[in-house]
Amino acid sequence: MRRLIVTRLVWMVPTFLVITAITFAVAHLAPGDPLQLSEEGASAAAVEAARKELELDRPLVARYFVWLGRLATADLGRSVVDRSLVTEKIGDALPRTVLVSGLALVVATLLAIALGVLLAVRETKATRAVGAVLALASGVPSFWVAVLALLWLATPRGVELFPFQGLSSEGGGGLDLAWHLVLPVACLAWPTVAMLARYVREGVSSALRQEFVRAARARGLDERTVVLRHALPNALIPVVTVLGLHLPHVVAGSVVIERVFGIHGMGVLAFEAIGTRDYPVVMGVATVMAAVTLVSMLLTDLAAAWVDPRIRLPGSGAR
Amino acid sequence: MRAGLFVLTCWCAVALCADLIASDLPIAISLDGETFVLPALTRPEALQHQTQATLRGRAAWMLGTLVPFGPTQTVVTSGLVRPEPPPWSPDDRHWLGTDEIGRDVLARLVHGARLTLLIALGVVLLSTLLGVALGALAGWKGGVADLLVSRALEVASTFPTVFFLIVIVAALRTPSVTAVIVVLALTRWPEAARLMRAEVLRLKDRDFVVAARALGAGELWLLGRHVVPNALPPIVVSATFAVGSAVLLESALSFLGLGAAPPAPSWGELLQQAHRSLVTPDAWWLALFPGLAIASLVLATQAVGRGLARRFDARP
Repeated sequence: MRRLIVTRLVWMVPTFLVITAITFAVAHLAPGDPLQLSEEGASAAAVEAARKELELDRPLVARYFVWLGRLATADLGRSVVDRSLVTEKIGDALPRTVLVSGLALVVATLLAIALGVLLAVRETKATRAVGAVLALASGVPSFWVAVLALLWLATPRGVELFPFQGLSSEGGGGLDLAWHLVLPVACLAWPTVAMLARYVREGVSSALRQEFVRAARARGLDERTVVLRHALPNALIPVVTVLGLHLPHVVAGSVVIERVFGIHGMGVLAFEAIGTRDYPVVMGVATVMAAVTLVSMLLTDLAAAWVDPRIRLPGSGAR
Repeated sequence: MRAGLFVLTCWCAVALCADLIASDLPIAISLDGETFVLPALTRPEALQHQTQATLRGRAAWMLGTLVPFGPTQTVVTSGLVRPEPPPWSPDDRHWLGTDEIGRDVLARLVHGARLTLLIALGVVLLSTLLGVALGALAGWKGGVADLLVSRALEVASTFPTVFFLIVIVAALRTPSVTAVIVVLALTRWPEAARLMRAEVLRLKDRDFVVAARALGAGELWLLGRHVVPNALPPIVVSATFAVGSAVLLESALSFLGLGAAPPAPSWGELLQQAHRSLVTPDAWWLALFPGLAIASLVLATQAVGRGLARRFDARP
């Protein structure tokens, strides 16, 4: 297990370097720089000084290594636009993104497991309807659902049940935050539930046909134990892997959802920064999101190894 | 599968014949002794600033389109004045309503199908070709090529795609359709590459390959004639599903305002517009119909994909 972690960690380094290098190059090769966009009336000398400070006159590769060196000391620079620290901006935005997408992921996983098991063990008209709804849901864009939800559940013309924008209203406490989270989390979780429930259902129903389940039933265990303690853990192994592969999609979805619900998270931050060619902020957001994605993929790999001894103990013969 | 194919064919037909279905000018018209065929494409001088509504009374005969509005035709250019300002809700004239400057939603949907399908099919074609080439190379050659492609695969699939897309598309300012296709394809190739690599590894030591090699077949011939064709079924199945996800990705991108530039509307852009206009009027038709179009297309490709998977007995 330790060896697996070390290998994965070592491989993360080149991956991380390549991702940041490509993003750095693309962001900086873009036509126009922050000085042109933000200070059109500035004097030639002021522009020159600012250019020096941002080191825009140095070659790209050199700038990348300077940036990398600063990153090693957790220094992501200052925003070109409002001179505030990039780390502060990200520190402000990241918790919101993590809160919304993390919560969506947890809700989606739990719901998908519950629905998947239900669909695998019961076949009634009701469960068949749930299955059909899930199949339909996988083709429906989450931002469309979000717009419709806003339209009918949060505007005066529909039912004004939920808040329209943001994560909190003035003077609101925990309950207020939870209320604001309902729609964004539901819209973000929706496609994941649709996708994951199918895997759980297939996994559980194929596990239920296997010998060890028959053995468990023969020993007189009740059906509940058979499904939840014997069939489900085996069905969850591929689910963990799928969840890991699906993670970037959840992060991607959060960008759109943040935009719809006016939540100032990483997606909105990146968006604003790109508009003003605020390189330090753009790079900061891209770097942090790359790191978050890499770490969460590592975590899912470890979770897969934890639930599946075949991955954890290579060469033990089981394969 | 059959229903999926039907819906898919319908959308393709709509995309191809968009100008015959919805246009500000008729399909054919005879005006002042002159006959114009498809004036929407040729844009003749005599019909400038005209619409089907203004031409109806003056023409000797006219073959109109099903939807007598163009995708960019506003309330100003169509000359249809109503007491209340747009957006107008669906009625017998605008079947799916109009947006806040009086453009017909149905006409925009019909023309949007063209852009959406073009981008989705382009992305899938390009990414599949790229993935097949790189995957086959990695599986067949092994060694350094395999290592490089596998690492590239890992990088590409951990890439924070949307952030990268934001960076790159914004870098292009007003991205062209080709640029959007290339950028999306660059983030979508790992799927096909992974499948292809696995298939080539599975097939390369099979008897029929060994036999062909023994008969003196060259490397390229072996790969192109024996291995790749046998590896195609799962690739085709996954490419079919990829069309659906490309549609979703493209519309998400346009929804963020990062898609190909207007006036050509894509479905995601119509939804973006709906989102923008949420704050003021209650124009539910702006939000409802583009989403239904996207969902129907995605679900249709998924149904076709499942059908193909059953037929080929191949799971992507």
